[in-house]
Amino acid sequence: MTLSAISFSAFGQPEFWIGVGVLAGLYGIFALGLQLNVGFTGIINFGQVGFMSVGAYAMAILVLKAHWSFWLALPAASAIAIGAGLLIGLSSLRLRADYFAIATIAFAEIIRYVAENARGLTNGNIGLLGFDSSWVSVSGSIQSWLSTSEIQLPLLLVTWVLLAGLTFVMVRVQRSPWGRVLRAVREDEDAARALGKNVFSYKLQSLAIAALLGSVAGYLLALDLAYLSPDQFDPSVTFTGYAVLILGGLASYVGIAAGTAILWVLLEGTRFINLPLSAEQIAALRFVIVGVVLIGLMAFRPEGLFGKREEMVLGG
Amino acid sequence: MADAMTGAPMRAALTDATDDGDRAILSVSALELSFGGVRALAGTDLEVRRGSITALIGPNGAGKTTLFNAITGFYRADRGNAFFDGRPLLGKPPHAIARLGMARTFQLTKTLAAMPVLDNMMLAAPDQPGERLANLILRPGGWRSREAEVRERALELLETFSLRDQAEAYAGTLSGGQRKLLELARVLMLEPRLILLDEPMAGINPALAQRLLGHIHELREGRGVTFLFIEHDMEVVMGQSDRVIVMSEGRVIAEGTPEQVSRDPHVIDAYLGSSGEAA
Repeated sequence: MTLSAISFSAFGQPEFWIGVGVLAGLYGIFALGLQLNVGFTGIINFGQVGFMSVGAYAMAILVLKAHWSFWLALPAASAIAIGAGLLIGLSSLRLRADYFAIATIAFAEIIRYVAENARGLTNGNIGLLGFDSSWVSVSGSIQSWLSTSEIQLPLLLVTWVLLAGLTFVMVRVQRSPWGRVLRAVREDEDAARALGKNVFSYKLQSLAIAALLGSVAGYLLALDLAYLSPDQFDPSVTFTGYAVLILGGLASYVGIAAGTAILWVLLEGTRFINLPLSAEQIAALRFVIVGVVLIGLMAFRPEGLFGKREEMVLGG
Repeated sequence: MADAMTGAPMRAALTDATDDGDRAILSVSALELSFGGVRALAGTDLEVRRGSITALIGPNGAGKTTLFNAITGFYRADRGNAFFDGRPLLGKPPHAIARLGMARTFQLTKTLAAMPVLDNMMLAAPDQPGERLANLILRPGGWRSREAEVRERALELLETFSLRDQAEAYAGTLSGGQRKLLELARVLMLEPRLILLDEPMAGINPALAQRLLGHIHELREGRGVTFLFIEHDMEVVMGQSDRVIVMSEGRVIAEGTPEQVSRDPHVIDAYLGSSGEAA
């Protein structure tokens, strides 16, 4: 009965699922930064989309307006995103956690409004095109090497290789003494200070790395759509990242990959629900389903799929 | 190796004291700090003798904890001076002061609850190159030898404090008394010469309190660590300390041996007389 309510024609298209996979992967990278901030440092960063936006726009502007090579523009744009992270951190990290969270939302919204209005650089709402020719040619060679007709398959591979590699690096770094200090900062800043740790510096480092990860997710989004416009960077992006975080589990990097895969399969798979409803109603229903899953998770497994219950209970 | 690192500076501190060079390890003068209109510290002057166990007493609101916070960098004093081993303290952030060799604990224990006991200990070790991001990138794994040293030292201390069996447990699962022991053990990882304890005996059972006191005396005798502790239990103050400093309304009103202080009329007026705990 339920099966007949799903139309299989589009459901079975690899092209569609490759697209979903790219989104899932890039949101995973995006959420690694949130995990570092929220799960391991105790900083509430609601402005992660701002770093994503800064990275993507800086890359596109360097390529299109300054005529940089795409490959050089990537590290430069990440450096700019890190700079944005340091700027917001230096100015606002001394605020209490909740006020800092508000400051980060404001930051991300300021970036979005600048992208809408600084038309000379960003083309405003018309958006930017044509920054990805270097990638398109590389993608083409990967595609012919794989001898596949799927245009987005190379991007899918790159995205998930990056997600896997970055997850590995983050897990390694978290197991170092540096990661231990971050956890201490999360648990009790005053205790960390009294034990000789420069709490502010560690929070700043955490934020800078999140900004770097945000910028990488931004490049992948830009390449996925081959287009940049301000409305791709509205605050809901950050909160989708939080949904990934909650599904995967707080203080688990490995959980991020699982969380993002489940979230995107739910979000996109529900497109095929074939009910006697209007398109708007189905669109709304998809988010209702995701919401119900999250509520169910909170009720029955509040630590998420891979989170540690003890850490959540004791840390509270 | 670990022992040589921790032992040497402590013994040096002790010989200084016997040489009668600089008798005060901590000296505070004319320290002032106000919160709005309330003068929490109204020109506090005090000295803590090297190698002593000094109690800091006074009625509630006398400014004892405020003094701790002001000299450890958690609060910013308005005026005055504070020196630890001849080094100025005011204006330095808490983490820098902790690294000088002056460590503190808190009235409400600040164990890192969602971290294992062993991680609580190892966190506190100084000079861990792996705490710098640049070292992780440039010399991956270069921190492991120091980590092994730190681990050994941490386990040694946990053994001494009878917490070895709980090393892998989350610190949040320890009893209140065990947390106090952990906090003292953890602070020792910093290899401090002066330890400030804010009500170490509060809320722990008498048997654990005795153990804690035993450790304090051992550390003073064995390593020459100086202690300054805030305490309300007069029996502990009179029986365990060799110097007592009495504060009232943001000032030091008396200072001396427990006997001298308990006979001081100012003290009886301001504190002992009103509470009657000394008798």
